[in-house]
Amino acid sequence: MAEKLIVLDPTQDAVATKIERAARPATFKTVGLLDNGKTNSNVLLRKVGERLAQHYPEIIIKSYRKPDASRPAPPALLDQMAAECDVAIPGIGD
Amino acid sequence: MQTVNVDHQTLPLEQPTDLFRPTSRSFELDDIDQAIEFYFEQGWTDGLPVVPPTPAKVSQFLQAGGKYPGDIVGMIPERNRVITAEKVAINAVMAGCMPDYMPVVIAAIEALCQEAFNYHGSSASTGGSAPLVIVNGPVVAELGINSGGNCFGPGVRANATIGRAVRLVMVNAGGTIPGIVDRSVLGHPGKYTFCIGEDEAGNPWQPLSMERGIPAGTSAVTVFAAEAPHYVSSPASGEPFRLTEAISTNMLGTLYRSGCWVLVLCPEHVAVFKKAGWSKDDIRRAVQERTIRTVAGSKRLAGLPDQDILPADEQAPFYYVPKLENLLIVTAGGMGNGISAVIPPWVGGASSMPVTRAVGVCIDC
Repeated sequence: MAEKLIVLDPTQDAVATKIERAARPATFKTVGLLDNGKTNSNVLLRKVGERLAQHYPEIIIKSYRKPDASRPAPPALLDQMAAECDVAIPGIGD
Repeated sequence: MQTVNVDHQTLPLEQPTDLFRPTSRSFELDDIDQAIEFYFEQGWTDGLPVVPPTPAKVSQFLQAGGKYPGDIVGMIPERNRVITAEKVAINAVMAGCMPDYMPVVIAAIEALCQEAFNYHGSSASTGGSAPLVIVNGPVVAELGINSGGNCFGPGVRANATIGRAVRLVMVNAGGTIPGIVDRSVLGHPGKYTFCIGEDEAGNPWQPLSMERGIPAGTSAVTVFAAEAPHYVSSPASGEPFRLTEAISTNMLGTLYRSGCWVLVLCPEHVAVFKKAGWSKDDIRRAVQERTIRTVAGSKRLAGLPDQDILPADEQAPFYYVPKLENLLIVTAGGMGNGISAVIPPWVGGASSMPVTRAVGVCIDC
């Protein structure tokens, strides 16, 4: 019997981390729309905002835009949204 | 007792190679043929067969790279990923590298994982860029990295396998899996391998690495999130202005949003500029002046539905080379017909900037 060939796994998994979801609010007043900066995101989110305003005239809609589509939102922007909004909808274009 | 210094602790060392022993999951296979098929089945290749990475070989590569298996070469925070030296070594073996290539592969991965490069964005993007690896310094001759004829083409092991190792690390350890995280619309051939040396002997100016802060005589890699090279064929351009016109026309053919460019000048074109006494900045200025659109023209070229064209846009200039340092000039290629290349940036532009990293040494610590 020939000797076996031992070979190694070239992959490395992502480090698992647990992120707790924020509790869903029972009611909300302010909705933040986060445009991720990609082409057409603003077009899509504008429509979403219009529909929301039509169905729920009592809510306030605020728009935000990531400065760079291919990088995560800066912490300061997320903090601002967290302070100003009850819920948020992120949008991607393309 | 023989000792070795690890992380500022002196440890007893019975067998030196123990410190370089890989710890990855292993598989027991019958033979090389089975191993080659096994790696295909697992989705761990770039579509070409790989060299089976045995523990002995991986250990040898780690020693050649001066790294312990658990050393962290880079991190990709957006993906919660850490790339260890062991995984770099395994993938370098698979790519067909020689052990001596390891310091270059390691420096390239370190460079990719610098924040300025934006590994995650540039490698996941529909824009489908590939990191071009440009090598400078003594290591180019030592490893036989091609900086001459056909430097972007096949035939030289160092270029082919260093570039391939970078891609395999990206796929297997960086999670840049085509169709899953890598969402390239087209991709390009440089995503298999994309590595050249700079022809420093044929370079009348400062090498790229020195312009970017690396001391003379120190080897370095520069990584650049790149589209595919565009040839600038200008065999008869015996004078510099005509040549910069050819380069600029080529650049204007792309949708530039921001960021840097790489201009690879072949020896005949280098000679044109050298004869005229031009510096690199003279070339950059001449190209800058010839690559201006109006903002309106740029918006029309992009055809973006979310960008209105304002009256002022018809007059406002849009620079393809906003600052002179955005044009990286590299000398490489062979003699023949006066063919240089313009390499446009990834469509994300300044979201990924080129990063230069010394090979095998730390120059700032």
